[in-house]
Amino acid sequence: MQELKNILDGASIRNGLRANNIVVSGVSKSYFSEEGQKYNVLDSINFEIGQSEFVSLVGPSGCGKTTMLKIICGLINPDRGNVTLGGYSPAISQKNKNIGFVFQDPALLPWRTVIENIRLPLEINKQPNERKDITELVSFVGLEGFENHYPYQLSGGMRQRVSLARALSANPGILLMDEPFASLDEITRESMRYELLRLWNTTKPTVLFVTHNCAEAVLLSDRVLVMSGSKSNQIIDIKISLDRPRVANLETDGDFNKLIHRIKRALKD
Amino acid sequence: MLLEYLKQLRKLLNFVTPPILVLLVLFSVWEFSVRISGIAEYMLPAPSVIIMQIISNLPDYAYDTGVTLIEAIGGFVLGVIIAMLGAVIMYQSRILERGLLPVAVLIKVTPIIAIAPLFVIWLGFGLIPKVLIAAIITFFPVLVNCLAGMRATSSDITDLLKSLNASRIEIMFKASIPSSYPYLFAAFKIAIPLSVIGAVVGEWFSGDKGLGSVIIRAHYNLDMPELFGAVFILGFVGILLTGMVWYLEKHILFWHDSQKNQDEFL
Repeated sequence: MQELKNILDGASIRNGLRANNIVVSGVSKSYFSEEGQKYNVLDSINFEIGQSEFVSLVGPSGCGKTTMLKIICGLINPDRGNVTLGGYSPAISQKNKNIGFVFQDPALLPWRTVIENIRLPLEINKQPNERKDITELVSFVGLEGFENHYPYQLSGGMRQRVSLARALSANPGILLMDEPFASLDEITRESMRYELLRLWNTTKPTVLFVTHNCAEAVLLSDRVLVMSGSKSNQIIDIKISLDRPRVANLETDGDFNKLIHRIKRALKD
Repeated sequence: MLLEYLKQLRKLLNFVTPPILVLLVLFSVWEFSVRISGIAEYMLPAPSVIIMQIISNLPDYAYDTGVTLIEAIGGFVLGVIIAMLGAVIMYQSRILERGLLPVAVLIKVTPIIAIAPLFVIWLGFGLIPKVLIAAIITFFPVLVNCLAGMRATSSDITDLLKSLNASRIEIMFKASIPSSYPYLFAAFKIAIPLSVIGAVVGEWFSGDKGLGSVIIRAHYNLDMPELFGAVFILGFVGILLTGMVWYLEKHILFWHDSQKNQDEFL
């Protein structure tokens, strides 16, 4: 019965009837240290992200942001609670290639060229005769002319672009990003943020963006979820009511700075 | 075109001149010491005598070298195939690893000299026992390194593949096996000279072909020039095979950090 439902679910997703919201309800996860002491990383976490919404998850290091992201994409099972992506479990969303994942480290395969790296998601669970043209995607992330380069020949910013293009190549409805720009230099980071917004604006995936940079969160997001380090069950939801498209001189805007202060206050609570 | 060719030639000269000079100095010291001390040829022949010995018996030496090479390379290839299959199996589960690895260690710690006569008794005087001995001696370093390399696959990459619903097999072929290449080549560099040792040890115990049997025969006859001729050729064969592994590594692992500060020529 469950199997039949899964098959039907898969079919309806392929037919384009997908609402790519993320619902996290009552998710708890704890780890045991080597001495056997229990750490509650996440304790009954609840939040929702609407279709095509851009939401950032902000918190100090070690507060469980990455764990949350891995639970959402089904890499870690929660102790309690559950996650649905457009109404489906993470496992089914994986099967439907509806999740794109970008890490802090570009995590490219060094023995593959740029184009081969971007194609990787299309090769997994490949159906015979399945082909997809990704040249448009390559030029969209600004990598034309570098298709046959290897990762060691690219700069950090370009590697992260490849990683982004790879996450988008299977055209996922949901994009999960784990501090993707944290290891880039400030100038590259700036331009990558606007680049990301431009990409998001075209296909409008639902984005959950993990960062510890408050300005970055405000600049990109519709909403910012603040996880506090001390209370593992509390999420403070801050709406970012700045106009889109976001422009480059936003940093001087009074509202922009007020929002950053609100997030910083929420982090200290 | 010509300029490019000359450049290539200069690189080659830069690469081979220093070791050749060192060898020349060593051989000169050897040659002079032998001549001045007047040591008997059946104790230590001069390099010139050894080289003349090789040149005047070239067809015989060439034949024996060919036999030893086939045994060594055959054993190396067989050992690598078995080791990689073993690593792939052990990579599947820790329980299999715990069960199988001690067996591999047992094979490794048993001196090859002790097993070699058994193989001759079981398998006769042909190529097969020598190939098997060479395979056994090359098997272990390749197995251990291949396994370590597969386990060193970046966890971000395996997470990424899992998030795409990749199967274990897909993860293994797309990520783990290529990740192990740098480790594999490190093992190949250790294993290829070992395979020559394996072939020679095999020849000591049986047969009348190959450089190993030349050494045994020369030893019985106290024919030091013949013995040293075989030793010189074995050294040369070792360098040649190791050079081949380096060359392959350079061209297959071009993407790996280890290749950044390598000599330009290979």
